[in-house]
Amino acid sequence: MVFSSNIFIFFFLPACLLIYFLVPGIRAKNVVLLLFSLVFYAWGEPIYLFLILISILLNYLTGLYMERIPSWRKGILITGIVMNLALLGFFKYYSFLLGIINSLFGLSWTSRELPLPIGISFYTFQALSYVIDLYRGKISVQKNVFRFALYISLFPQLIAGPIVRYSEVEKALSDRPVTPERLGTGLMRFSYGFAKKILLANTLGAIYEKTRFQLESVSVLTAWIGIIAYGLQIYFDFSGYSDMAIGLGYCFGFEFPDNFRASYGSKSITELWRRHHMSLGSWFREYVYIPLGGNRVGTFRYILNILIVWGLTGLWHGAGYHFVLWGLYFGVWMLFEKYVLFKIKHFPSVFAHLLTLFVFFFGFGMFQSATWEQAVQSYRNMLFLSGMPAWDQSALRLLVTGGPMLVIGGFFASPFMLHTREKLMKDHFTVSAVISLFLMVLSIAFMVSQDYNPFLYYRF
Amino acid sequence: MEETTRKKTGDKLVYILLMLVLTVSVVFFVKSRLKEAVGIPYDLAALEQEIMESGLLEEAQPGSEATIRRNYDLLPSAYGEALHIAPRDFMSVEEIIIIRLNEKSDAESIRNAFVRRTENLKLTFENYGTDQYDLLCSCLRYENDLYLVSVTGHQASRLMEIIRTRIER
Repeated sequence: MVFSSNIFIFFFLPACLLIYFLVPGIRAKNVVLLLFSLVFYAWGEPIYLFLILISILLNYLTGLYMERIPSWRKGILITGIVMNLALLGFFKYYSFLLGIINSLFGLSWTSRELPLPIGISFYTFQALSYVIDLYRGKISVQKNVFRFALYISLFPQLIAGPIVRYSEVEKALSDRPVTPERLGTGLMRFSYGFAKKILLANTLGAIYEKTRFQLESVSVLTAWIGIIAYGLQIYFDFSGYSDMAIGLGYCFGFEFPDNFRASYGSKSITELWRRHHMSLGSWFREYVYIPLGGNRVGTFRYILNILIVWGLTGLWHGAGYHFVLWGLYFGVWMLFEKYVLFKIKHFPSVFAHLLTLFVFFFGFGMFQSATWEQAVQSYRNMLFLSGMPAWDQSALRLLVTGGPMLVIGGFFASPFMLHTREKLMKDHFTVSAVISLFLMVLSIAFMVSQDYNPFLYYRF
Repeated sequence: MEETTRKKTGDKLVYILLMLVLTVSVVFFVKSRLKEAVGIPYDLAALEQEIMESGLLEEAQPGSEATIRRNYDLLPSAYGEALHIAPRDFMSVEEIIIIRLNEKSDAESIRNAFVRRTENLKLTFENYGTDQYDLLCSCLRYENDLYLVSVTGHQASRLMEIIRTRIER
């Protein structure tokens, strides 16, 4: 099930909130949330419920036995990590790995691509953070299997993040405030996110889709309009989902970390990635980059660490060479910023901002593509290499019809809008409530009539 | 002391046993998923190239996920893989679509999408484009456990023959 669907908005969410607020005590509320979360996950693909239950059991037992058999702690941790990664690796990278084996050994093994269990990358990373933090002694073991199951399967952040670490919800699993005020504030945040997804992301996505028709014969202008629309769509889609998740979490008494902070307002790629999909960035920093030595190592090792982390970040986003390359592209650019750009004094701020946006959006040529060939074709289109003109009639028409939406998108992605929303929610509750109610009604009206409402996370 | 040691040994045995049970469960689950997935035989990109180079289509060109969405109202998440060779312009009806299923249960909705597409085009060309209408009426369809295929064109039967030879391999 996804948030931007009729079934969720009209049935699932009202039923869940109603029952959740009616039942007394945290224990009963946990049971309600757990049951709803499992139904949410099983919706559409019930077979994979088995997989998330296996993951819950595996990590629960790993934590439990790490405490019971202290002399085996390291071995149990390694077993837990290996089994988590094996599950993720098989379901997400099976076909990709088979392709590598085929090309390495000249084989022609064929396979059907397995449908990816939705949200497996998110909940596996959450589970890994639990077992690793437990090993490091940062958290204490969760002995109640139902509470642990709730942590892994909590539906607001289950399929599109943010990646919530156990330490961030440890206390809330057994004791948390559930009040009408929180419900109101949470729903406000939810409706802002919902509007981002329905009104902005889907509209921008429809513009992008127009540029994907006959990829081999689009003008340079069309290719760039497409990439800008796609970049904005991704931002509003992802940050919208995060806002919805954070808002819902707040309704239920949880406080999830922020995931997007107007990242397109950054002045460097390094800064941008600190404000974009923050929970993933901090996960890699905590569990990969720092254990590798971080920046407290020699230059060569530091560069290697950066490239490893960004190669893995790319791979997390999708099973394909072009995703790895997409990650490495940012790693290399960050090194360039560290060793060259940041050393230039008085670097004009406007130029820094534009350069950052250009570099980030240019990277979408790889990210948007389903295959390596499509990625190459996208760059040929953008860089005048496909033999097509700079613009044509259809590009100009697209610019006239879609251009205003790109400008609106740019405005709503700016830090100004983030700060306005935060100020409204903090200091002008009633005004914010009215706006969010209006946005909710408008978004629902759009959603029921929209024929384009993609779910972009099926590959994560 | 002895009791503590015995308890710890017991814990170790239980842990090993539980991990084995989990591993076996996962292996069986994976095996069942793979069983569902066996038999994917053919690279659709190669098939597209073969069809385009065959010269059996006069007014068609390679399509994309976007053309499938536009013409069939099918999102990429609704199918595993697809090959679409789309009509070159609005007056052409030559078209091939091959959909590889994610799940067998998806077949019906995709079959309906094929029928809807043909019926819509027939309505467009009825009493207007005789040649196009005739081609649409003689459109060929084929399906097996993994693929659904629809071919419309002057050389539909020869094209279908090529496709079936490949995807049944």
